[in-house]
Parts: sequence; C-alpha cells; structure tokens
Amino acid sequence: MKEFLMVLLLAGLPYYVFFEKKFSEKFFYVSFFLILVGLSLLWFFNLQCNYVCIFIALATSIFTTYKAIKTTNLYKLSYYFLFINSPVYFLFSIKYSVYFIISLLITSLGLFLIGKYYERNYGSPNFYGIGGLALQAPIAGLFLRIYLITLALYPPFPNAVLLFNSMLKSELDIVWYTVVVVFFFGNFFVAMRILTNTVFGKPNKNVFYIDFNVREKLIHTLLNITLLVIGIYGLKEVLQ
Amino acid sequence: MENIILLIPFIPLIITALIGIIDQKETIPKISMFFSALIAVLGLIGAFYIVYFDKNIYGFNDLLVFNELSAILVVYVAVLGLVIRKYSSKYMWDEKGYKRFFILLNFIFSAIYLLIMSNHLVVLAIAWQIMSLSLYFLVSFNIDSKSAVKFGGWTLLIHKAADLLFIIAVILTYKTYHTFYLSELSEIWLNQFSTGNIDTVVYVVGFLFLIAAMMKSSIIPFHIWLPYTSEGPTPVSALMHAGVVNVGGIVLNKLAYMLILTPIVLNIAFAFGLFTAIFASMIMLTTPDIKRSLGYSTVGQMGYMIMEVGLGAFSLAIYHLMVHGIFKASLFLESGSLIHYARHDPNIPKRLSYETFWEEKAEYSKNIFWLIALFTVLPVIIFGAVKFLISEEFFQFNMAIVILAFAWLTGTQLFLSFFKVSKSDSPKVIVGLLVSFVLIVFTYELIGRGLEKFLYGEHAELFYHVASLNVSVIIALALLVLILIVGWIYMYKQHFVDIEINGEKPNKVKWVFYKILSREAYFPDLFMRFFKIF
Repeated sequence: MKEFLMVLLLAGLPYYVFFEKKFSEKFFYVSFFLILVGLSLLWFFNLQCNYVCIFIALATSIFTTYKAIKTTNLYKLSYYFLFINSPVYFLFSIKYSVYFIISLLITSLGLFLIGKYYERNYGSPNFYGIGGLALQAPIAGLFLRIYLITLALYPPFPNAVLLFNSMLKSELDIVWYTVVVVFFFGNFFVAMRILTNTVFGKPNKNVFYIDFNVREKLIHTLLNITLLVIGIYGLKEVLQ
Repeated sequence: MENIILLIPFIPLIITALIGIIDQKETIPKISMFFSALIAVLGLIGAFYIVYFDKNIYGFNDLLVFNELSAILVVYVAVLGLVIRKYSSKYMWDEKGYKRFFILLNFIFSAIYLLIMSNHLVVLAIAWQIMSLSLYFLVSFNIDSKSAVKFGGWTLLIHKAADLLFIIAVILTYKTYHTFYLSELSEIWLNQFSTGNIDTVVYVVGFLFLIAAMMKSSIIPFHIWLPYTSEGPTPVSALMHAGVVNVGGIVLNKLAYMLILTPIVLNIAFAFGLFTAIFASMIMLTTPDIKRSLGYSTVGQMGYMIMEVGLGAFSLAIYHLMVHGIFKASLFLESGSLIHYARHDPNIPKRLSYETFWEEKAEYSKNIFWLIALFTVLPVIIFGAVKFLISEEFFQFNMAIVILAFAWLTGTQLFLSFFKVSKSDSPKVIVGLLVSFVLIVFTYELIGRGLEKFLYGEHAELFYHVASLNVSVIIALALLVLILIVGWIYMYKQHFVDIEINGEKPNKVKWVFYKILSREAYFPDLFMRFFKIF
C-alpha cells in the first residue's frame, strides 16, 4: 500500500490520461504538487521502493515518452517530463537525487510558463506552426532553449550534473542500465523535438511574433538563476 | 606563474562574454582575434615550458593539466582557431546572426581546449558533451533551413549515444578504480600492466570508450552525421573536419595507458578503422555531391586514424589528425572563399584557385602524369622496401607498416584523382598533391620517433608490443591492397558502366554494387525513415 501510494504520488502511474483532455493546464499544478508531497515523504520518512515500483515507473516513462512525441501542447509536455523521469525517483537514493528532482521541477515549471506565453500571444499552448522563435522572439527563444537543453540532460546545466551525481552513488545492475537508457533518450527525444519544431524552423508569416515582456523576463531570469545555483552546487559535488 | 597557461579553456568564454555586451559589429572579430592570438601565445609558452622544464603544469585542484599532448594540440587548435576566426570575420559579415555565430564558435573552442587539457574524467565528460551541443547549434546555424536542422539533429543523436556510452564508461571506471584523475588512473593502469593483475571490467570500459570515440570520429556505422552536415557555414565545416571529428582520437590518446591492458579493444579499433577506410573511400568516389564526397573523404581518414590507434601507433594518430585537419581546413576555406567572392563577382575571381582549376590549359601528354607519378610515388616505395630490408624493428613496430599502408592508400586515391582531374586540369594540382603526400610521409618518418618519445616517454614502445597484430596486420593489409586494386580498376572502368545499349543487358552484379555504394549503403535512408522526429 505504501509503495502504491509512492508510485502514485511520484508520477509512477500515467493517471494524467484520465484528466488531461479537460484539464491540461491545471493538471501541471496537480502533478507538480503530488511530486512535492511524494518527495517530502521520501525525504522525511526515508522510504524505500522495491523493484516493482521501478518497473511500473519505467513502463510509465516509456508510455509517456510516446505520448510526448505525439503532442505539441506545451502544458502537457511540461508534466510529461515529470512522468518521463519517474524511474529516477525510485531508482536512486533520495539523499542524492533530491536536487535533481528539484531542478527537474523548476525546469518543467519554466516550460509550463513558456506554454502560458504561447497561449497568451499565439492563442494556444501548442507550438505547432510557431517556428523560428529564436529569430522572431529571441529572448523567449533563448529561455526555451535553456530549458530544453537542461531537460535533454546536457551539462553544465543542473539536470545532467545532478543526475550524474545520483548515478555515481547508486549500485549498477541490469535495471539501472535499462532505466538510464530509457530516460536518457526519452528526455533527449522529446526536448529535441520541441527545439527543432519551434525554436528552430521557418518563421510563420501569418503569425505576429511577440517577445517576452518585462515580467516574463524577470520570472524566467529568476528561474534560471535558481537553476544556475543548483548547477554550481551539483558541479561542486561531482568534482569533489 | 606558469598556471596562467591553464586559463586557456576559459579565454573563449571571456570572448563570449565580451561579444555579448558589445553592439558594434566591427569590434566582434577584433576582440575574438586578439584573444585567440593570446591563446596561441599562451599555448606556445606552455609548450616551451614543457620541453624546457620537462614537467607538466597542473592546476584547479588538478582538474586541468598542460602536458605533452596539450602542448602539441593546444597550439594546433589555437592556430586553427585563429585562421577560422579571421576567415569568419569577413565570410560571415553579410549573414544573419554574426554575433551568435562568434559566440557559438567560442563556446566550441572552449569545449575543445577543456577536452584537451582535462585531467579529470568528469571534466572530460562535460567538455565532450558541450562540444557536441555547440556543434549542433553551429551546424544548424541557418535555423530556418529545414535540412540543416534535420541533419543537425542526426549529428546530435549520434553524439548523444556516444555521450551515454562515455558516461557509463566514466562511472564504471570510477567504481573500479575509485578515482577520476587521469594522471592517477594512468599510473594504476601502468602498474596493472607490469604486474599483470588486470581487472576484467577494464575490457568493458575500454570497449565503451572506443565505441564512444568512434561515434564522434564518424567511423562506420556511426558516420552519417559528418557527410550530411556540410550545409552549415563554411568555417563550421572547416572546424568540423579539422577539429571536432578528431576528438575521438584525442580521447583515445588520453586513455592510451588503459588500452594497453586491452589488446582486444585495439584489435576491434583496427578492424573498424580498416573497414571505414576502405568503405568510405569507395563511397566517396561514387557520391555525386562534392561536399558529401569531401565528408566521406574525412570519414575514410578517420578510419586510418582509428586503425593507427588499433596498431598502437598513438603518436601517428595525433600526427595524422593534425596533418589531415590542416589539409581539410584549407580545402574548405579555399572553396568557401571562392564561392564567397563569386557571389560578389559574376566572373570567377582570378585567384590561385581560378588559375589552378578553371583556366583553360593546353592539353598535356599522358606521359607527363606517369612521369610525375614515377618520380614521386616510386621514392616512397623504394624507401619502404629499403626500410623493410634493413630494419630489424620492422615487424616489431608496426609504424612502418602503417606508413606504407597510409602511403599506398593515399597513393591509390591520388591515382584515382589523376583520372578524375587529368587532361583539362593543371599538372600543378597533381604535383601539389604528390609533393604534400611525400612530405607528410617523410616528415613523420623523421620526427615520428621523437614525437613518440615526447608524448609517451619511456612507455612509447609499449603500445606496439601490446597491439599484437603483426600477422593479422599483414593479412589485413594484403586484403586491403587487393580490394583497393579491384576497386581502382572498377572505378577506372566506371565510365563504361553497362547501360542497356542495342539490347545488351547490364551486368547485374556491377549494378548492385554500384547501387549500394551510390546509395551510401542505405544509411541515409535508414535515418530518414526512423528519425523523422528531427
């Protein structure tokens, strides 16, 4: 029962399929909150999950990767990333993976806010047909690029560094290798798909591009500073 | 004081920061050039320090090192960087995103310097990945071009797979030896070699590092990213063919002491290198696209480089990658320059390229070409034969065999070039190619031993003992020669490929062989089909 609760809280089950048609925007808050609760439970009660949890989370991760490749909705994608990385929450000790999860939550939040920007300026959170953002709205393009590179697990951005730190501290076995390969490529494919289709590509002549306003710039700068601080901490940890 | 040399990887980042805050377009190349020159000067000072004091420079908690390998490669990359930046300053002037281009260029140079000077596997892994990412952004520089972005995606995908293998190898190394420091690891590996007490994990680690290196060095079957990424700006192509693609060889050189524990990994490297050298060279000759053809030429050269690593000739691999890099960079920059001038001038500009390649010449007798061949290739063959007869070390050290193989293969390609460029083109081209070829082979023969001693000191000869390929190398080379002769005859007769004339049916085997080569062994089709995501 305890394990099932943890799987549910930490995005180990794709329960979004029941809600996302109607509440794709709100659902991000729900999954974000549930993961925070799950993380706190893991941290304070030092809970351990068995291999069954990892396998369930792995299946969810693969399924969500497939779902993420099929969608262009940035709201959905922002919580899909939380589900794609779910095996990490169970595989690695919370002591070492907590910073990775925090960094992942911040990056997903950044992506979600970019979805808000899309909805406000282009009518919907879908990136389909909104190409060439880097040319037409360079600041928005830059921030989206940073989030996507972070999600695609490239160093020195924090997700990659912190994940490496968690990987280093864990025991290697066949499950470890399987999980690592799945989330390594899952994150990469989904992030690169967004990058190539909206940050890059030909600008749409029928769309009037608007860059970030001051408030958005401020919020995303703060998020990036937080990521930078976590990244520096992670780098320091790894190099020590 | 000497630790200032270790700031080299961070100088391109300083350039990036400065470019970021500058608005004047004219100032961007000036800053970039000034600091690049500074890197070259620091590199030279560092090289002098290494030679004079015979001591490595360690710094940043031993995370970075300026050693013999850095002394050679940093200077090489710095000079290359200087040339590419100078070239880009004018070439990219009219392009959109001038500032962005210089920022990305400096990022990739920073990653390359970090990779060369790292003494820590994590730093190496970080540099290894940043380099790929920077390359992706440079290759996809024309972001509104669908094909540039798609092929950039292919590049990143293969590099990402290499990153995963590299990371797993790093973790396994740490779990086995409990250190990330390459200087400490080298000592452990040498010690294990002398005592014979070898961990079996090292075979897995060696294999993972080798595959990762092969992926980033564009070895078949991981080669597809290189021939298809020529759509990026010309300076990027030059950098890619002269610098980025060499990182596999550089990393294997850094891990040379581990590879002495794993002769089987060296044998695998040799086999992959051999196959790549042959296959890429054959595809190169059937590819109609000139840029892709150049890409396959580089793939073939990387095959030689990995082959040399497989033979234990690590210093030759370094020499080869530098010489090839200079050659390819010159080729790309010169061709790009010609296109650039042609954009502004409806006539082809009267420069060296024009005189050499385009100006109509009187037809020369075929004998001239044969004479040139006789007086240039023949001395190399005689030299090799004499070395074979007088040198006791011939079979002990494979270096001479590699040189002969290299000479023969390059010579064969040159012969093919004869038939491709003959008659209407200038003999200057052929003389130039042959002279450079002879120069390269003889230079290495003169400095090779010195280079080996400089890079690996007393352990230089260890690699050849371990490579243990004496007999198989000779068989492989004989096979290689046979295949090349057949290939050469086939290519020579290409002009007469069977086309159904007067009811005569074409030779099916020939057609199938040609089809496979001209479709680049179906690798592009495979990627087009399965990686539509990009």
